[in-house]
Amino acid sequence: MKIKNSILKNTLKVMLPVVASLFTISPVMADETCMSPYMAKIQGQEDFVYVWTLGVEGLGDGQDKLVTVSVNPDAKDYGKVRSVESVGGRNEAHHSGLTDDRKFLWAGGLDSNKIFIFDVYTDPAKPKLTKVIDDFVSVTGGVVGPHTPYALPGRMMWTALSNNQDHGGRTALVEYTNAGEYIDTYWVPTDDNLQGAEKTGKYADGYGYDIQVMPSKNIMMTSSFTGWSNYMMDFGQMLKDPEAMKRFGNTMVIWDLHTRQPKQVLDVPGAPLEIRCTWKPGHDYCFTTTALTSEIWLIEEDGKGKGGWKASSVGTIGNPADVPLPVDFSISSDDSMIWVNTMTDGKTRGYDITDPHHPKLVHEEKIGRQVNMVSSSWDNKRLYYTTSLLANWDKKGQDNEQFLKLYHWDGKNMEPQFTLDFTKEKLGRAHQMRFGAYSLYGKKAPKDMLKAVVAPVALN
Amino acid sequence: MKYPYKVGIAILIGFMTPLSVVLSFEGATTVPQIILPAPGYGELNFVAPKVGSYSLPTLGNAKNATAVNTDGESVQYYDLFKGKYTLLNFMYTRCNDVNGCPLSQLVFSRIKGLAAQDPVIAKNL
Repeated sequence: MKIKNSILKNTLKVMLPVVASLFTISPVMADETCMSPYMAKIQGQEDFVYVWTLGVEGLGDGQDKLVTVSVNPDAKDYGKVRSVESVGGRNEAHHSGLTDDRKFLWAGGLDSNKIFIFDVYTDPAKPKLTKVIDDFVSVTGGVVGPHTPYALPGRMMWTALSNNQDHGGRTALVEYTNAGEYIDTYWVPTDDNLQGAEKTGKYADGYGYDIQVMPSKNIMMTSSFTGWSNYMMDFGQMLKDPEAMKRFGNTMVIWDLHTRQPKQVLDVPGAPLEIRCTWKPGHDYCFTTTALTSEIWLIEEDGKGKGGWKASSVGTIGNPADVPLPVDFSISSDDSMIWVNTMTDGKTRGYDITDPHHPKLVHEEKIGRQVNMVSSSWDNKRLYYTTSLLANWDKKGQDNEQFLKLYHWDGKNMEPQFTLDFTKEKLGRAHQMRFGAYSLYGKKAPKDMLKAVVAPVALN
Repeated sequence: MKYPYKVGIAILIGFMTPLSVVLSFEGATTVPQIILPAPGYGELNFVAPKVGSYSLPTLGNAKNATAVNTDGESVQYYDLFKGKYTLLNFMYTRCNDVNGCPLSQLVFSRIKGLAAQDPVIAKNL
């Protein structure tokens, strides 16, 4: 049935963006500091951290797994593994993300191209694998390496890293319904096919990595890393291969959120990885860090009044000549700080970003011999760290520490709370973290899992 | 690919359902936060894309359900809504989040007012 009605057309034309914009304005609607603004969030104490973990041959069952760690201090097993859900093989487990309603956690495998969907709401303490998508490459027409799943209303948008033609960095975004039904593929613009986007600098490489949206501006932005031929190569070998080192992304792309059409390609040389956007109304800017050049970049409106955006380097992380390799970073919910991890020296650095054009280093802490991911609670008081980057890029021997660590941050100092050794526990390489809480689903922790409360004794 | 506008309306339902879920969640604690009125109350911060310039894929089919009407009678969703353009949202009458239920109610009212200007649409709304 097709309706040709100008009033209805105009109604939808006006109201669709309005409705979409409803989701995005207030920080109340945000998730814990780094995830989609469309998602319900945990404002208070999280009960669990779900760690998407790479299996290691000969360690435990050797399989990739979702490890549920009990992190509520009121729980009997605080800081311990509550449950493990293995997925039946190794896939180069990497990133994960929750649906907008936080009922399901999606997790990807960069090598097998499989997507695993876990039910995390029926029993938040024991997620269950409910669906595996194993036709990602064929339905998308050759996209390889599902990287980051990102919640949109009723949908999940995946970034990817590669393709099945040359296994290089040219790639696409892939959209699914929350039920796991494929919707569409959007290739990242290249010099050969800009798809109507404006190339603002020297590059249009078509690479992908992370995604964030800013619905109040109707934009989506993506960053760029490297393809299958590099991320599956031994890290030391790759560094010695000049041709391989040329195959890194140098761009970010600004997309129209509603139409999924690319609008601008911005030069951000040196492999811009994670994207973190500010939360407060009026703070219309985001940050990224570049892995190869160790810089902090600011992405903001270009001020020309035509909806354009620009990217500029606003600082360095450590000594770029030492190749610290900045990996994950987190932004505080009040837009005052970012925490940047560097793989090489195993440190986390806190920068004051109240002046976004001049980030100021205010804290530096050694987390371990290597560190990759960082996740912050919404109140910015708890910072969780994990260690694995990629199976072939992690450090070797004694330096290959694999753990989940929790630190408390009081605004000046970090205090370690617990360390969960993923090697000792025979789990694998600890990668991405997502939070879970009973309160999201109107549930409460079972009483038998809580510490006994000692009743106060009245003194006469 | 162009989709029927009826489907477009159905997609709005898809948008609004998570809206009610997201905004009704109060979290584990109540942290005071400054909440400004959403841009949806006024002008948008961007030029809305033209109708037909993007896809509105069907994300799923609405399921039948039983509800109780104001007369205490059981009614079926399919009996109420089948063949009609339907925007459906669930909200709390006590909801006091300025950017939650009141705003979604305002948007619904605007849509209803605009749609009512067309006799064919109004008859099937």
